[in-house]
Amino acid sequence: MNRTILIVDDSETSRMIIRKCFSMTGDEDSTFLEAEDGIRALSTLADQTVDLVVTDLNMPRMDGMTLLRKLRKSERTRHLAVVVISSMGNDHLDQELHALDVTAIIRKPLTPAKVREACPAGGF
Amino acid sequence: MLNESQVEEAVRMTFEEMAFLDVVAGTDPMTSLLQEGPWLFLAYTRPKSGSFALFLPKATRYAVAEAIYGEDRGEVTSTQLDDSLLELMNVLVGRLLTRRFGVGTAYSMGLPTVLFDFPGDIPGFSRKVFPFHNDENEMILIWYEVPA
Repeated sequence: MNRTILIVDDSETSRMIIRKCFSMTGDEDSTFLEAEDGIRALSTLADQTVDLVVTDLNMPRMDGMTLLRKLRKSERTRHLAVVVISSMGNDHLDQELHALDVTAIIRKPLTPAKVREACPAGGF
Repeated sequence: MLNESQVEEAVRMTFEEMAFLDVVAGTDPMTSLLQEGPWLFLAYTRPKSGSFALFLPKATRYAVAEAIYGEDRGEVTSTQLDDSLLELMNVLVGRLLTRRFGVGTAYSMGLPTVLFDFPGDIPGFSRKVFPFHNDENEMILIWYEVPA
């Protein structure tokens, strides 16, 4: 695939792992943008066209859930595909995320196999 | 809190999946190590208050970073070293809390941080020490939680 993916995570390590896992599962030709929190992500999205957002939830300044809510309120990003990657796992959280129309939820630690498993036919 | 074998499984899986390291439970509480540092620390606030502190010896800290970044020692920057350890702590605590409270219960965890000194006793919190080792490298996980 050749698309633009915005990775949002406060951890440089996690962003690197996400980039590697997506590159190994069909996105070797994609362009990766990075943001360290929700505020930086919104700033990037204001300037650039992105095909997919991959975001962590637990971040300083603006967390992933707040980012997701803001994306869904904006006409321009309402239908943007968002994959959530988080170390937290519980049904309440998943329900809240699905209500915000996330494309997939993947638990950390991220692996190429988990990306492959979560990816619907035809890609995110 | 979880019992020793549940904690061991979470720790073992996290080190194996993130850093390809074999970590097994120890039997000695290694009180001498409690004065060592630095400690990785992460607190949670819901549905109960608690926190985790993890001590890793230098060799293990570098082994984690090298495995995650695919670099040799000396090529891993201090930023990468710290960041990879904080991410490991984040994943470990997420796994422990999911098991602790179950998937049906919402929980809130903070952001991982580094403490340079042993956190010691935290007033109002009970403390349980879980010793581990990777080869000859001994490590300690301490779980603090408000008593039931």
